Amino acid sequence: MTILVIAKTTLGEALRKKILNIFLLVALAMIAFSVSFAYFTYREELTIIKSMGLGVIAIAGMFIAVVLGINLVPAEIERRTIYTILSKPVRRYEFLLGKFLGSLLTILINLALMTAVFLAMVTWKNHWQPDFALLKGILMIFFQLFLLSSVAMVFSVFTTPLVNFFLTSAVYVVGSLSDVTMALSRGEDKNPIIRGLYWLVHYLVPQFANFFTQNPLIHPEVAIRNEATYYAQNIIYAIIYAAVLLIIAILVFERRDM
Amino acid sequence: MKRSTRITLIIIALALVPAIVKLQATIDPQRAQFQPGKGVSSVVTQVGNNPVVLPSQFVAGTIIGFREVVAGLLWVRANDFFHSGNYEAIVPLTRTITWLDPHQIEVYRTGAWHLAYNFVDSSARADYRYLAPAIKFLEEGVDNNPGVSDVEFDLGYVLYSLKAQDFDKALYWISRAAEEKDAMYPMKRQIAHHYERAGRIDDAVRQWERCVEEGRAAFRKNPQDFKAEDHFLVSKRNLDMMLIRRVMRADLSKRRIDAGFEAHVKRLGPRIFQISGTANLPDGAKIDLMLLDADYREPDMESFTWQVDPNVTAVADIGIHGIYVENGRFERKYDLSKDVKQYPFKKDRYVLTLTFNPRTAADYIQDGIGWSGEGLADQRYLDTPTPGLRKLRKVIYLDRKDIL
Repeated sequence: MTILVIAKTTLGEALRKKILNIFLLVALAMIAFSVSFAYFTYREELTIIKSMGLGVIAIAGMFIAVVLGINLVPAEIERRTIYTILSKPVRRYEFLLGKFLGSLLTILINLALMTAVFLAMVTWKNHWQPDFALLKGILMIFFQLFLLSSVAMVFSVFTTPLVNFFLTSAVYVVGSLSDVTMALSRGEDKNPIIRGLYWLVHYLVPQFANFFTQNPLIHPEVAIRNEATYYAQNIIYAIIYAAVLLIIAILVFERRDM
Repeated sequence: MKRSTRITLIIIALALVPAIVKLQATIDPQRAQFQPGKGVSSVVTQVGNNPVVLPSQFVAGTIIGFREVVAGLLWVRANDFFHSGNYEAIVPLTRTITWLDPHQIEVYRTGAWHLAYNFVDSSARADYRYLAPAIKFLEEGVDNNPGVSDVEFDLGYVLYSLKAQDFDKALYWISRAAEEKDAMYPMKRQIAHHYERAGRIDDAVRQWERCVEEGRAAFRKNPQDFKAEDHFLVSKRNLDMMLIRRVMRADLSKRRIDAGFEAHVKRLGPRIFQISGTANLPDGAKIDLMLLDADYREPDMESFTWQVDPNVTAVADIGIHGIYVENGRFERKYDLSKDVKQYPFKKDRYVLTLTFNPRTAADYIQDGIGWSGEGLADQRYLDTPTPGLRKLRKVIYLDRKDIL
């Protein structure tokens, strides 16, 4: 119950944040403007609208998740509101989980708004035929952001927002280079120590590239084999990884002097 | 937090790490199966004098996984170049786009079309040296998009048939396209047309019969299927026409026309010459011209490069661009002096070939000489490269001084 109260408060605060609203508005405008590329053939046009839409949602979602995540705890400490909260019968882990849940709800609402505009645009351009398969892409984006938020959450319990921004962004970039780290971890001509290092990077850094499923969604000719299994595995991956990160965050936050 | 809770949480976290590793190991091969980046030989960064520099924001976009968005934006940019007629700028862009996202079908099709058709000299004559890269580009498109009929069809029709006039290869690719699930009726009809072009008349008749049956069956099944109705009607008309022609052209070999083919080349100035000649053929018959380095070899597709050899000269006026015959004569002036880059003439010897190929001739011309020149005769320049085909062909060897 306490977690839900904190989540609700976090959501309310986040929705009032101007910077997040600006990200959202810019994203909505970009999705709407993508239909202006109307001078291509029908197939090209849809490809561009879908890729732009999914891309804009992913980028805007990433910024929203990072900006939200890096400020979750430091903002409370800076405003000293955390002392008031923790002086009440609220455990630290409840505070953290509430904050995390609040940020997830914010992301979810933002994604829902962008998705509604995106689907409307695609439906309009697709001769009023909705393409609900795109929701699978949105689902993957959500779980990618879920994972990204948990990364930002871990760093937010012991770093400043600026440092956290760079740390989270760095993890995101490394985690998006999955093809590269995988290839380097398997390169037989490499030094075993170097290979081992890349193996660690590939398997221990959260692999955000797993969630990039735009290609099969925008090109009907490309299919994911065992699609349901693939999506399920990614969702489980995100949940397990986020659980580990939240445990680390809780353990660190519990021992932090305030 | 109690110590025991703390230890329990640490144990849970550690226990979940192998699960993360295991899941990632399971996800990796599945992701590699559909994500872009496979099956593309290389990203070539220069075509002609146009180096490709991917702007940093695009590079950043591709690194963090927004390949499709970057590809889409680059294609929007390429479209601007297209509308401004800057075709040279489009080609390297198309290469970059298909590297970023090898499933952009239209980019493959448009890129290959630009390569084969839009690098032109001051007389709007396409640069023949770019035909091989165009073919290679579409072949790559086929490899990366198996089962997509449009790419295979363009390779067969737009490149091998219309441009290279290689009807056997055209037939292979068009037939492949027609077998795909997304194939359209016109692709199936093109098989018949290309059997005809390849001189396989009985096969063409059988294909028209198949098309007639296919269209009829589909239309009977669904009377609202107007594409099927159209397929049936067009195929039926063409089948009837073909059967009539087969009868009419049956004994052309017994009453052959002497073409009296002759051709001359006259130098008018540096890189300017005139081709003229006679051909006893109906008005509108086309004489193909190829002027190549004497040691010209078709590019080796295995060691393919986008850089065309700047030392190679290849002038090609074939198919609809051939020199037309009027009143038994043909003539065309070639002024290549304004296009030194496209026609460098750096070799010592050149081969000028003038050909009349009955298989590419219009129907009304074939009515007089047959599909493969059965009714065609010539005292000096009859060429029979393959059994059943009777072409007219004159080869003239030129020295560099004859042109420059």
